[in-house]
This record gives sequence, C-alpha cells and structure tokens, in this order.
Amino acid sequence: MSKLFKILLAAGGLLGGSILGNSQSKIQTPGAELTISYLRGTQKLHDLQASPMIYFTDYNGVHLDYKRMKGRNRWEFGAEAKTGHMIAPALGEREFQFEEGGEGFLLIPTQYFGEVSAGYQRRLHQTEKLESFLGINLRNQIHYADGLAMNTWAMNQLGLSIRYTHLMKLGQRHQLLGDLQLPIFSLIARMPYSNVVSEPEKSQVKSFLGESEMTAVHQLQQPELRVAYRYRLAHRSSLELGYAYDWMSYSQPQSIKKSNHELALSWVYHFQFSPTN
Amino acid sequence: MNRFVKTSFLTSLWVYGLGLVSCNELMLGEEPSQSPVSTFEYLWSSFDEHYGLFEVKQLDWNAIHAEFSPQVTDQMSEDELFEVSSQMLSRLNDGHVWLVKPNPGFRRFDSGPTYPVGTFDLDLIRENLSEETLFGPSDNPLVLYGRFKNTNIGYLYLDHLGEAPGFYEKHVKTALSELADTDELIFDARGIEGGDDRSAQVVASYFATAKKLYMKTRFKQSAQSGDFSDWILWEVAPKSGGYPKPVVLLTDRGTGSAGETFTLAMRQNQKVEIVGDFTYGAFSDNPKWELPNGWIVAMSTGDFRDQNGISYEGIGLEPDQVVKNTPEEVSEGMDRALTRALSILLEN
Repeated sequence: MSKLFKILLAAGGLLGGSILGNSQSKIQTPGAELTISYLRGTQKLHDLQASPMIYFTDYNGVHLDYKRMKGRNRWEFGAEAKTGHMIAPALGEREFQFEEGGEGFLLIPTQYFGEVSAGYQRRLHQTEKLESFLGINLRNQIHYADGLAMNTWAMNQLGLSIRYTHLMKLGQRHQLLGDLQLPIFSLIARMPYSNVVSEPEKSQVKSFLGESEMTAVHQLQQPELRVAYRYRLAHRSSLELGYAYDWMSYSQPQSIKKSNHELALSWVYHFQFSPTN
Repeated sequence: MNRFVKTSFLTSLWVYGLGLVSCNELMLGEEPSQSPVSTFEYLWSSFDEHYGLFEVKQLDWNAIHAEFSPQVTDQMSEDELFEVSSQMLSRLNDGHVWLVKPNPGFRRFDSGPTYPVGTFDLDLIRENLSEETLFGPSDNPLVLYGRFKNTNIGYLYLDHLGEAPGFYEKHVKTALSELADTDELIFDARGIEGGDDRSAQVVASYFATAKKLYMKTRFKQSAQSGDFSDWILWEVAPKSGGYPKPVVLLTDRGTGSAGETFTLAMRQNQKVEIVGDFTYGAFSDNPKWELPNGWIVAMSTGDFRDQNGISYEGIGLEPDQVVKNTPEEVSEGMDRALTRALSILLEN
C-alpha cells in the first residue's frame, strides 16, 4: 500500500510538474528566434548603364535570420541569396552568334544577388495587442550578372537605414507585422560610365569596389515595405507568410531604377524563453 | 460611420499604392521606342556620349549624324537599318567597334580594317620544334613552348591573354623555367587577338630589365565631350623567374588589343627585337551597349596611349623589322617572319 501510495504520489508529482511547466511556458516569451525563408520574387531593372530596356528577373532564394529580443531591445542578423534569369520582355529571347555561320546561343543572363544585414531596434510602444520598434539596419546588398547586353553587370550597396516595425497580436496564435526601412546613407559601387573596370596590379573586384561613392537619401532612394502574417504552430515554432516591396532610384553614373516584389514563406524557431516582462 | 470612412480611406490607399507599384513607367521610367529612327538615334547618341576616340581619330560625329540620319525612316526594314548603321560605324575605322543583329537573320558588321587571313600557322612552327610542352587542347593550345631543332633557341606561344593574371604567372613562369638554359627565345604574339591588359602586363614583366612606364589609359566619365578620367599609368617591372636573355617578339596584324598593350610593354626592353608585321591597331577596351530593338554594339570607351602620349589606334605598332608573311607562302610551308627571327638570334 505504502509502495502504491509512493508511486501514485510520484506520478501525481510528475503530472503536476508537467502541467505547471506547461502553464509556465505559456506565459513565457521567446528571447530569440531563428527564421529560415524561401523567397520567390520578381525584380524589374531599368539601368541605363546597361540597357535602355527594362529587364525582369523571376527569382528564387533563401533567407536566414537570427533575432535576439531582450527587454526593450532587439538585435537582428540576416543573410540571403537569390538567383534568376534576366529577360527584357520587349526584346524576348534573342539568339546571337559570335560570327556569321557560327553556332547560335541564347542571350539569357543569370543574375546572382543577395545581402547580409545587422540591425538594432528599440521598443517605442507596447500594449497588450500592439508593439512598435524603431532602429537602424546596416545592410550590404550585392548584385552580379554576366552577359547582360554581353557585359558584366554588378552593383554593391552598403546602406545604413532607419527601420520601423509594427506588430499586431490577434489572439494567442495570430500576428500581423508591418516593417518599413529607408536607407539614409549608402556606399554604392556601380559599373563606371565607361563600363570598363581595369587597373594595373589590381583585381577587378578591388577596382570595382574602389570606385564606391558615398551617397545619401537625397540622391539614392530605396524605401522597402514588408507585411507579414505569422501563425504560431507550437510552443517553439511559427509559420509566416510575407510580402515585400522595394523600389530604388539612383542617378550615377546613369539612371538606375529597380523594384522588387517578393513573397516569403518562413518557418520560425523560437528559443531562449524567459518570463514575460 | 467614422470607422467606415477610415476603412474606406485605408483600402483606397492600399489599392492606390498597389496600382502605383505595378506601373512600370512611373516607377522604372519609360523604354525608348523600338522604331528604326529611335534605334538609330540611340545608336548615334550612345557613341556621342561614350566613345573615347573622337579626338584621336579627329572625327566630327555631328557631321556624320547629319549625313546618315536623313537616310533613316520608320518605314525601312531591319536589314536596311542595319546597312545604314553599319555605314555610319564604318567611319570610325575601329577594330573594337562592331554591331550584331540577332537571329533570325543574324548579321555582324565590323568597323575595323580587314587583313588577309592565313599569314600565320602554328603547325608550321611545331614541325620545327625538337620538343614541345603545351597547356590546353592539343590542336589549339593556350600555351605552347619548346626548342627549335638543332639550336638552343626557345619558343613560347600564347593563344590569347584572356585568362586572369594568375594563370599566366603560373604557366609563363613554368615555361621560362623550362627554357632557362636556352640562349635566346622567340616569343610568338601573332595569335594574341586580345585579353586582359593586366595579364599582358604580367607576361611582359617576365622579360623586363628595368621598371618603366609603357602605357597611359583613360576612360570617358560623362557624356560631355572630352571628359575623361585621370590617366591610369601602366608600368612594367622585372619579375623573379624572368628571362634576361635576347628575345625576338613576333607580331602581325593578328596581334590585337591586349596583344598590343603587351607589345607596348615589350618595346621598353632593349633586349627585345620585334619582327613581323604591324599589330592590328585596336587598343581600348570595348564594352557593349544594347539598342532599343535588341541589337548589340561594341565600342571603345577608352583612350590608350604609349608612354609618350602617342595613340596607335587604327594604325598599329610598327615592328623593328617589317617582314610580312603572305597566305600563299604560309600555305606552302614558309614563315618568313620566323626565319628572320631565327637568323637574327643565330647571328648573336
């Protein structure tokens, strides 16, 4: 009897502990999250340095993001890589040859692009359902395509942006997010006016980056808006569907205008839980 | 009611925003018309704003526009437009200027002069080598070196200079190490139609005896006439593992672009004698531009000069001894430029 009582007591203790643990975890908030996203988007590019025509790139990509939240502060580090073929709809697919009678080849350049970023935000406002954050984001974006009008096309942009994020909680499982960022200062490298990068005893990458120009929001505009819906699948994971739009305009050495429409399907892993503040 | 107004306003704003970002013309700017007149004007303007050799070639591009633009109408066919455009570009007489029209009906026009083909045959030389080492396909090697039969004269051939400088650091250094015990060397640049000027500099440095300026380059930096970047100075300096003995450099009209900037660098070395024909005469890099109708044109955007500020665009570099092979002689197995090179070295 005594043995049975001890077993029941132990089982009850375990069950109670487990229930208590669960109820505790429900009022805990994650201190960090890791997000992996599949990206699908369309980039439209009108770079007079490369072509008078507008090129479309339907691309696929992945994004990795680590976010640390502590008190009123949020730190975020991200990296992404994307690739797609470039087509000018007005020109269609074109087949060229190197010489008369030579073998034909389709001129469809492939673009590779991506970014790394690091940001900090501080909470501005918090209610039971709403939260807003304001901060900065340092981001390097790189673009490279070989064969755009039979040339190498490249661009690198290191930008410091102001970033505002708005969160809306809809019950226990649903969340809406709005995110806006705008680069204030950028260090931008573009192909030079001559479209030639060649200097003695220097790699082409070094020569290209060596021509970077510091610019500010009066010359380079690139607002980016992102909205997302997040569904809490479980204690440690969420699913997120996001849409982002960004538009860029810069005038040196010739006008470039660019826009991106992008969908992101993400899985979020929450960890480092701690009691809610 | 307030809520209804607010919701309607936000919805309208959202729809308006979506419409705005979907409108290419507003967000990305307009594309030019693809008509013949628009395409011709775009071609002319691209050269007007980017071409780097009007001053060197002493050309009045506005006068050329006045001559050809009346011939272009929106009713003309693609082939007729190609003809007029080609005639206009022929005035540049620039081997780095070409125009291509895609299939169907592919056409290519080259603005530069044409020279007889068949004035050089690598197989003729290979027959005279007692031993040869090559890198690349056997029938079209990228690098080939060896020794001439019954002599102690080495031979080094490069097909082009289009690989990165590191490639030549490795392979030319290896070749010269293998040929270090020869008394003299023939460097054959007759196959070098172009490549990377940095690679040309690296290869020439293996033959340099002193640090010398050999070339100045500058590039158009705005649409304004005569607005160029500062001069970029190219120097050649001795490199370890180099070849300090007498060298004959063979050139001909097939030696072009980076092959010519290589020849400019080799001319700084007194131990190098140049034999053969003039080089082609097209030095500057030639990036490509796309036209509204999808044609692609290549043009020289740079201005390349020797150390004294002399441009050889459209002229070519004159060898120390002019020996011109003819296709007939070469087809009969005779390479007079090579024979002269061997006799110069054997007399040493």
